[in-house]
Amino acid sequence: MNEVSEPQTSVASDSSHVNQADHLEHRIEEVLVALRRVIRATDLHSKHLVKTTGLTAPQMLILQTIRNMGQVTIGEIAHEVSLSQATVTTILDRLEKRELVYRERSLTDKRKVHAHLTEFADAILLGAPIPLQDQLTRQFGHLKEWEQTMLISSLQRVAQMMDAHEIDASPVLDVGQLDRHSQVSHNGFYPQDALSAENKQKSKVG
Amino acid sequence: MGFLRTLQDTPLSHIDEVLVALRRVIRATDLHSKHLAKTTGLTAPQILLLQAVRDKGHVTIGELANDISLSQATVTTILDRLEKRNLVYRERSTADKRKVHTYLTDAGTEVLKDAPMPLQDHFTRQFGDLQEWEQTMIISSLQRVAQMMDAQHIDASPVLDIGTLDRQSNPTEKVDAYDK
Repeated sequence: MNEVSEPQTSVASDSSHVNQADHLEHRIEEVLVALRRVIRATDLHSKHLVKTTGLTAPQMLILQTIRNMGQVTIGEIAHEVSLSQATVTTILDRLEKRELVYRERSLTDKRKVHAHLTEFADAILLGAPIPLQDQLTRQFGHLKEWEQTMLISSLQRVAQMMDAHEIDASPVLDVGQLDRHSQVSHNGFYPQDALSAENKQKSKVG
Repeated sequence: MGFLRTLQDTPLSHIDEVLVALRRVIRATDLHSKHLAKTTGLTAPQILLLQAVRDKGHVTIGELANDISLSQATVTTILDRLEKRNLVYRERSTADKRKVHTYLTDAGTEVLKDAPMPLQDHFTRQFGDLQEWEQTMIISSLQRVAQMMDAQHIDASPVLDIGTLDRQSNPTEKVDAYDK
């Protein structure tokens, strides 16, 4: 009655040596796929934003900032969203034309001009998807300090491996068309003429 | 106001560092693909494919697709375009009549000589030089970032800059990835 179970002698895994080159190739594939996902995510998200609200991510960011801060000057907005005053002014002009914001001289200090949301903008903000940047920011905030540090150094390392560590960049995930107006510092890998050509192209857009 | 002032005094916050680094990476691919288009008139995947044809010789579409990790359909589309521009030609194999091989034309060889190194090659080379632990750290960090963007299931090829390809293939499907 006693059934002696056959000892499991055959080990499932083949202990063949992992070819070193294949291993590296696999890692490279992993890193590229992960990077591609991140890049695509911002791209997809900005398309989704435009599709649902007709607004770009920086426009959205500025509307949110006005909503959250109330009585706010252009300088304060610029600082809060980490874009230049000139850039913020351009965006505000566009938003004003679309009747999403209006500007009013401060009652207490006549030298100041405050930007306010219109009701129309309030409605749009209510229905808008959460910007990818906010989502990332929120989730990042939940990480432990060591993990935050690790992510930062990894990303900086990746930027460096692309020779991109000197590229001028705002802490705004999807700068949209804006990006093209900002001045660009450069290094060997991104020839100056490519950069200036980009700027020319951009001013046409703007 | 007090809030604003404290912000001003603090160095770049952690999240800003993340955003700046990400933005740099995204801009780098963007700038590079523009530079590539300007100097060669080709997209990054087109260059990658030309390189694969040059390096492998006697190569079928299936082998090319496998080599650069794009679908056969995508590779076929790119090859059609490259053929129209006289950069490649296709010829039936003399050894096996069922197989068609792709070759570079002289113009194709010439274009590759002058083309800047694709960002992907540059990156890949540097990544390969890292220590094993650092590669692992970078991969997990990027996967973590993708996850925080809800992007971990997004369909993606291991090709840094897909260029216009990306934009042409089922655009609706892509936009809807975030519609759920």
